[in-house]
Amino acid sequence: MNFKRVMTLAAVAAALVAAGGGPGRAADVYPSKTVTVVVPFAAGGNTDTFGRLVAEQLDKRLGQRFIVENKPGAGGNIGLGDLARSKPDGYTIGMGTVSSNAINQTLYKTLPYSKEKGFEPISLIASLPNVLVVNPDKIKATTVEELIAFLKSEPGKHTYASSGVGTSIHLAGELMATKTGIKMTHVPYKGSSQAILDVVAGHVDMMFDNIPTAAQQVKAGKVRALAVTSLGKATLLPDVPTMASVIPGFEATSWHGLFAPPGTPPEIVEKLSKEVQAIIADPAMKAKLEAMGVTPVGSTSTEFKDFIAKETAKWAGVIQAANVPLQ
Amino acid sequence: MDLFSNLMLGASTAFLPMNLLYGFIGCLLGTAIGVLPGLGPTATIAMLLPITFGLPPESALIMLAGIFYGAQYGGSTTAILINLPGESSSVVTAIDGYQMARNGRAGAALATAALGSFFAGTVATILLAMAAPPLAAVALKFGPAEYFSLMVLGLVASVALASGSLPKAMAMIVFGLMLGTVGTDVESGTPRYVFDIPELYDGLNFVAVSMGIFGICEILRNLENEQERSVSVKRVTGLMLTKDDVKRIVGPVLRGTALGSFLGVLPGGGAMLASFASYAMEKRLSPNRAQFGKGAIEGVAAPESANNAGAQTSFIPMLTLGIPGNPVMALMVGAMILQGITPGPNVISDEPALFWGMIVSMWSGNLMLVILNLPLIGLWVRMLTVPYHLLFPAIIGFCCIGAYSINNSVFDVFVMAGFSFVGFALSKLRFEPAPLLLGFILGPMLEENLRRAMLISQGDPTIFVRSPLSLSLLVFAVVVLVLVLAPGISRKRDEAFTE
Amino acid sequence: MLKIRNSRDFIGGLTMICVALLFIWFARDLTVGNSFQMGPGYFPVVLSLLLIALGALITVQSIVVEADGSEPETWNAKAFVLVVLGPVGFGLALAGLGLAPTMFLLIVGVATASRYANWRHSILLGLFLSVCSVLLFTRLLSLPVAPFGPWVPLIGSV
Repeated sequence: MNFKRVMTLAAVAAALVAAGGGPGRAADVYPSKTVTVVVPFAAGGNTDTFGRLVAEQLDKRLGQRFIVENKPGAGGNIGLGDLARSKPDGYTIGMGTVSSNAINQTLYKTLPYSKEKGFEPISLIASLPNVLVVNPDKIKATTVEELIAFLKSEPGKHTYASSGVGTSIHLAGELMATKTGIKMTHVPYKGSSQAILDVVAGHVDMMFDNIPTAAQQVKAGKVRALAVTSLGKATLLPDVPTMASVIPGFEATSWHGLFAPPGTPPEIVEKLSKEVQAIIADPAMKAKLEAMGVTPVGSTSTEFKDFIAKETAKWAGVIQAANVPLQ
Repeated sequence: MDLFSNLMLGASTAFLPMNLLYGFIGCLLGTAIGVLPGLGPTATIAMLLPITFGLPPESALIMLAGIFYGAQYGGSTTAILINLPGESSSVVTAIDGYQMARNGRAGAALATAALGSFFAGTVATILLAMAAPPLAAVALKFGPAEYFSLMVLGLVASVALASGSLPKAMAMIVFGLMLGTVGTDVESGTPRYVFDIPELYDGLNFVAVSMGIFGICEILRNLENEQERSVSVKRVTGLMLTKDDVKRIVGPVLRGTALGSFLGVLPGGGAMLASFASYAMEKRLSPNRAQFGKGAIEGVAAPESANNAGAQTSFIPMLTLGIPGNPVMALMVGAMILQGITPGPNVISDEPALFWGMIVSMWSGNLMLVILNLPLIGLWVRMLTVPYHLLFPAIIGFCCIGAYSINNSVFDVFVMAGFSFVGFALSKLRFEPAPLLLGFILGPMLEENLRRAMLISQGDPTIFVRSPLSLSLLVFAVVVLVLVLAPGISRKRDEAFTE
Repeated sequence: MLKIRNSRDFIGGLTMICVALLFIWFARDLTVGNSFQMGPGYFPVVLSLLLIALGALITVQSIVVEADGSEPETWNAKAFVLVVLGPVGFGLALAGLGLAPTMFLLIVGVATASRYANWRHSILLGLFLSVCSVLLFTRLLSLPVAPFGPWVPLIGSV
C-alpha cells in the first residue's frame, strides 16, 4: 500500500519535473521565464485589478508566471519610468492608463522617460466610462441641455468636483466647459471617493465620476445621473443618455491597456497582443468585466497606437484651452 | 426585534467554521506582519491582499478585516516596545507606551492596549449595528469648512501633547505642517519643494518619516547612552495589570471609546484624530497629569481605545455610503469590486448576509485578537531581554524593508534615513518629535479643506462661522487654546526634565 | 554684554529661523496669492513666517530665561554615521546585490555601532536575518526584489 503511494508520488514528481523542464528545450520560444507586469498604481485600484485579471490569464495560456509588481507614485510616472528603463525583451511589461499614457505627456513638463520614444502599445484592455452626476438638491436640471442652460445663466457660481488636477475626471469637466462655453468652479480632491462624498452631501454641485462607484450612488438615489461620457450607452446605467448625443463627439473614458518598453521585438509584442485580445474576447472574462461596469476592449498594437495618439492630442488641446498649469 | 434577526443572520455567516478560520488566519497574519517594525496596517494589507483573491466574498472580507485588526494591534505593539509607531494613530501610544516599556512595564502597556482595544471594539461594533445609517448622515454634514475647523481643534489639542516648552512644541507643529506641504498642491496641481524628484510629487510618506524620526532616532539615542541603557530599562515586572492599573484605565478607556466611535465615522483621518484628542483630554482630566510623557498607563489606554473604536466605526462610510474613508478602506473596496460586489448605499439591503456578517465578524475578530495576543504578550516582552546589540540591527533591517515595501521603491528608505538625521538633530536640541508628526499628518488636510472651503464659498471667509457645526468647533478650539496657554504663562515650564 | 543662558535653545531657535528661511527661499517661484485667493505658495509662506516668529521667541527666551540644569551631552559619532548611512547603503545596493547580501551587509555593518558588538554574533545574526527576510518577503509576500541581484556572479538574477 505504502509503497504504491510512494511510487505514484514519484511518478507525479517525475512528470512535474519533465513538464517543468519542457520550456528549457525551447528557450528561444517566448516566454521561457517569469514575466513581470509593472502596475504603476497601488494595489486594489482599477488598473491593478485589470492588470491582475489579465496576468492571471496570460499565466494560464502561456505556461509561465506573470507576476504583478505595484510601483505607484507621481500619477503613474514612477512605474512607467521603471518600465522604460527595463530590458526590452518582453520579460517586463506594464499597465498604463489614459492619465499615465495620454494626459501626462502634456501635463508634466518632464517625465522620467523619453516622451518621444514612449512605449510599445500591446493592447487596450478595458475602458471605463465616466458619468456626469449632480446633487439633486443643488441642481434641478434633469438633462444635459437643461444643465448647460442653467450654468450659462449663472456663470462661475457652481462647482464641480474631481479626483485631482489633470485627472481624466477633471479634464472631462474642462472638456464640457470648453465645448459649451460654460463657466464652473473646479474643486479638486485627493482621489475620487472624497469628491463623490461631497457631491452626495451637497457641498459640491456635480462631478464626472468613474461608473462602477457612481452607479451605486445613482441607483440609491443619492445623486442624479445626467449623461455618460462614452460614445455608446453604459451597461450599468442603460437609461442614461450619452454626452455625445448633446455635445457631438464628446468622449472622455478612463482606459487601461498593456504596454512594453520601447524597443521590444515586434514579434513578442504581436504575440502578447494576440493573447490579450483572446483573453478579453473570452465570454467568462467579458462577463466579469461587464459586471464591473467596464467595457472590455482588445486591440492590435497598431490600433492601440493610433488610439493613444488621438487621445494624447485631444487632451493636450483641453489642457491648453483650459489653462491647466503644467507640473 | 429587527436588530436581533439581523445579527442572527450575520452570526450565521460569521460563525461558519470556514469564516471563523479565515478570520483567525487574518488576525494571525496581520499580527505577525504588523508587528515587524516598519510594517503598518496599510502596507500589511496591501501585501496580503492578493491572498484573499481566491476566496468567496464573505470570507475574503472577513479575512481582510482580521488582517486589519491584527496589523493595527501589531503597530501598537512596536510603538510600545521599540518606539516605532506603525501608523499615524499609534504615534500617541508611543509617547507613554514606550516610557512604560522602559520602566519595565511593557507587559502592562500591551495588556492595556489589548483589553482597551477589545472593549472599544465591542462597543463600537454594537454602535455600528444599531446606528450605522444615522452616523453616516452625521459624516455627510462635515463639509470642507467643518473639516477645517475640526483640524484647527486637532492642532490646538496637539499642543497639549508636548510636555516641555510651549513655544518649542508650537514650532514643531508648524515645522510639521510645513513638511506636509511637500508634494503636488492638490488645488492647483503645482509641485512644491519637489526638486524634480518624481517620488516627491506624492509628498513625504508618513511611515518613512515616522520610522526615521521615532524608530531609528531612538536607536541612535540608545547607542549613545549604551552603558546606561541596561540600567534605564528596568527589570520587567508583572505582565498583567494590577488592581490599581485597572482602576486607572477604566475612565480613559470609556472616554476614549466614546471619542473614537464618533470621530472614526468621519472619513479622512477621523480615527487618527481621535487617538490624540483622547490623549490630550486625559492629560487635562487625569489626576496623574504629571506622569504623562513618563509612562502613564492612561496615556496608553485612552488613545488605544479611541484608535480601535475609530477603526471600527471607520467602516461606516464604506458600508453605508459605499465610500472609503481612508486608504485601508479603499483597499477593502478594491477587494470587494474584484469579488464582483460594488459597495454602495444599497449594500445593506442588497447583500444583507455580507453586511451583517461583516459586522458580527468585527466583534469575533476583536475577540480572536485578544485571545491571540494576551498569551503573546509574554513573548513580546521577552524580546526586550534580547541583548540590545543584537536587537537594534534587526530593527534597522526590518525598517529598511518596511520603508521599501511602502511603494516598492528605495526612495522611502532614503527618506527614512534623512529623517533619522532630522529627528536626531531635533532631539539634541530638545524638541519633541510627536507634535511634529501630528502637524505633518494634519497639515495637508488643514490646507486642503481651508482652500477648498474658500473655493466653494467664492472667497468668502464667513463660511467658517455660518455653519453652526463649524462655528462650535472653532469656539471649542479657542476655549482649549486658552486652557493650554493659561498655565503656560503663569507656571515656569519644566523643560529640562522632559526626556 | 549679552549672556546666553540656554545655549541649546539659542541654537534651536536659530535653526528654526533658518529652516523657515529655506522654505521661503524654495517657495520663491510659487504663487502666494492672498487670504481670499490662496495660491500654492500661501500656506508654506505663512507657516514659515509663523515659524520665524516662534524661532525668535525661543531665541529670546534662551537669553532671558535660565536653563533648569542640563544633562551632559554624549556624542557617539561612529554610531551616528553607521545608523544613518546604513539604510542609505541598503537603498543603493538593493537593486544590484539583491535582498540577501544587502541585508547581510546592513546587519553586520550597523552592528559594529554597538560597543558590545562581536563579529561572530553579528555574522550569525546577519545570516539568520537574510534567510528570514528572503523567505518572508520575497517568497511569501512576493515583494518585488530578487534574493540575489545582477551584481552577484553566477546566481544573481536580473
